Amino acid sequence: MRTLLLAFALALPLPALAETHDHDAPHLTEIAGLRALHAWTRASPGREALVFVELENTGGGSVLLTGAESGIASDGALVGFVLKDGQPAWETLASVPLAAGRALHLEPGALAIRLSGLSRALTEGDHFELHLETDHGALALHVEVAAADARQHSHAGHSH
Amino acid sequence: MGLPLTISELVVPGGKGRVLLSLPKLELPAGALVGVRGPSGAGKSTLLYALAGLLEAEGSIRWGETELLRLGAERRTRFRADNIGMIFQDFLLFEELDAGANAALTALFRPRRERAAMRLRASKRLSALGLGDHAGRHVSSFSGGERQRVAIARAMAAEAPVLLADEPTASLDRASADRLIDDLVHLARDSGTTLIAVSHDRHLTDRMDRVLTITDGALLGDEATAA
Amino acid sequence: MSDLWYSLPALAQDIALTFALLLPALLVGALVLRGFAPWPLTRAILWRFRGASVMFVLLIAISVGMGIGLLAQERGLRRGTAQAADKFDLVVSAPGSELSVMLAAVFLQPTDMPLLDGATYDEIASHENVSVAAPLAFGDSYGDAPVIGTTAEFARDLADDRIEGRMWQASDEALAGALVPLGVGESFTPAHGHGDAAEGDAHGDAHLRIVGRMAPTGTPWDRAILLPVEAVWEVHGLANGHAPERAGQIGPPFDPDYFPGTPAVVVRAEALWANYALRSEFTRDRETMAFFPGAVLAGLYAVLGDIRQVMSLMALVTQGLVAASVLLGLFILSRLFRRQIALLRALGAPARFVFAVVWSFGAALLVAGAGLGLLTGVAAASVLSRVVTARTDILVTAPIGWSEIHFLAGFVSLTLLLSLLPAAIVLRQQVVDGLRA
Repeated sequence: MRTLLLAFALALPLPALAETHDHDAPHLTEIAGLRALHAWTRASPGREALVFVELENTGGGSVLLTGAESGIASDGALVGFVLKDGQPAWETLASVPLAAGRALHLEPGALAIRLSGLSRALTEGDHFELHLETDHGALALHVEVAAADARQHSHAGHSH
Repeated sequence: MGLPLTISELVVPGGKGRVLLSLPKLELPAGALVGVRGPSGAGKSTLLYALAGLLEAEGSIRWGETELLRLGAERRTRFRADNIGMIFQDFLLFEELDAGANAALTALFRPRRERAAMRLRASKRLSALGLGDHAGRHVSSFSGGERQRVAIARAMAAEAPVLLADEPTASLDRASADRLIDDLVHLARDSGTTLIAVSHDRHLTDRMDRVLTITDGALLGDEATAA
Repeated sequence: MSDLWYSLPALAQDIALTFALLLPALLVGALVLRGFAPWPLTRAILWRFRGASVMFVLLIAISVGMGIGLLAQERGLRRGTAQAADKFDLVVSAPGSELSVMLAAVFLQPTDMPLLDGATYDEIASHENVSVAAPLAFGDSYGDAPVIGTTAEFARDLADDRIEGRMWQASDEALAGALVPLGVGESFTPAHGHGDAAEGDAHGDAHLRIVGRMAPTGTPWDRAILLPVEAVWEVHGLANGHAPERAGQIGPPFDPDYFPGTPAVVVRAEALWANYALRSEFTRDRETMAFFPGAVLAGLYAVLGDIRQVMSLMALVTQGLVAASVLLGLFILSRLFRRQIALLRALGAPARFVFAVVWSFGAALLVAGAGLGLLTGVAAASVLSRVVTARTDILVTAPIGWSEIHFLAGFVSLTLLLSLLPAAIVLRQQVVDGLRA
């Protein structure tokens, strides 16, 4: 009983701690060893947004990324940057495997999650939820909306 | 057929309280040929421009049933297009156009359906004035007499019942002027057009039914001629 | 509505946008001209003031042409540089500036670069996702031609397999780029370094023979001489990448213990996604840097994009000023045909007709100027392209694109609306004063 109480007492302040550390959502999420850190996107009034995130497979097996979905978008997909006729473009990738122990940086000029059919404009400082779909289930990402001309996450370089 | 003219209490102001022309009463029957003479600056041209509806004035200028001074600017323009042909001392032709195009100039702002008939009439007028073979020539190569004939054809292309002429012979030599006077008078009489011609030229005024004399903005004489 | 717009093919969008830009001008034109035939008079006035008219048209044409030419050229340059980087999916080098490495590897601009060692190269080449890993060894030259050591596979890929003659089979054979002034069968001795600093006799006893010529690629590689990377190492007195018992081998696999190093490796993966995975994997602090030349170029274009916007704005302002002066000139001219205008009014021409004549005079000048400007723009762009191509060896073609057409349509529309002003001012003149003038 004492231990239970102690555990209860210890557990109580934890969500509060998380809150003070970081507004309302954690930077780091994980599923089956797949960790996602610093999901971010750029403020935009348009119908499309590119979401960037640092992924690391700390688990024992390979993980297959297959897509994404979010409540604020009608569609989500993994896309890769290409330069076509001098015009930047993003090509849809059906799936991307991530081997055990490897990292994958979704970043400008490389890989991204493209959300299309956004139901609202994204303004700097906003947050929204996104689910990265994998063969091991969906990984929740808490996406932070950065400035319209941001090149990286505001906490990039920190390791949480 | 021409239009009769009734003027009453006409005053054309000249700004700063001046009066350019004052005409208490004048009546001209339809188809009348009227000369207007008087010294330079006496108000002859002012009368002509007022009759054309180009000047603001007080009183009444009535062409047939139309009270000209009561019409707004665009209605007056419309009335002028339908009823008044004008001839000027220095012809005012478009030098870059040929005689036919100058004579049919007013067709350009007529409704499309009227244009062909208008061009036809213009070319008939040119023929009647002896220029039928020269319709395709640029008017820059024409003599003064020929130019004024083109201007007459232009003024009469719309079959306007009224013709206003401002010194039509002043830029012509005597022989040309006499031929032009003949043509103008015949055309006006044949078509029953009311013709009002401001002129110093006795050869012209002598051929009119009446001659008005205007001095210092007032009508000083109104006499019937022997013709 | 916006869904409908996004569902349209690009061409339809471009045409629709052009039409939308022209619409105000077309509407105004239709409203002004409806029911009238002012053209004979417009022609007459144009003819009367033909000298001034020609000047106006030329002024407009030159300002429009320069704007269009520059915009087209900027896009052509982007396309040309992007095309030059097409064969370089992913480049791995020692950490440093992505831009300098890209300039060195893709555009052959010489730069001093640290080398990747054999172990690193081996890790790249033997990675499960890598299908091609070509070392690029630069630093030598022959005359104006950079001499680059690489693999036969990459050379073939660069030339799209169009090689006149044959591929090298020994370390004293080489391929010439399309613009290299050496024929098949000729020999040369590479110099160490480039240009004035090149040491001509450093590789004194090395004689290489051209055995093939690559088809033109429209890139700086057309001026390069390609040879087996083994040859570059041997010329410098280094191991040639293979263990002594296989010293005669040309091309991969290389033996990490006998691999002298390479400044850059061009990497290609079979699957598109794998390129991104490899980039993540070979981006390592203090060890290797992996980047997409395409992304570096896109970053440059983004900077250039801002410049393009400034340029467009400047071009637009210049054209606006020219158009404004033309309209002012028009207004001054209209004083000269004041009597004709008054005459038309006296003959019963409605105000809108006179308006139509003056406006169509201005419209004729503007449309003719814009049309001639388009031709001037095409000519200017093609001349600029030729100059840039000759100077950089990057094949630049700058055909006029839709953005220039839109630019032009906007210009025409705006100025046709502006030319309503002088037309309106002309109408305010007194008829009788005009007749007596």
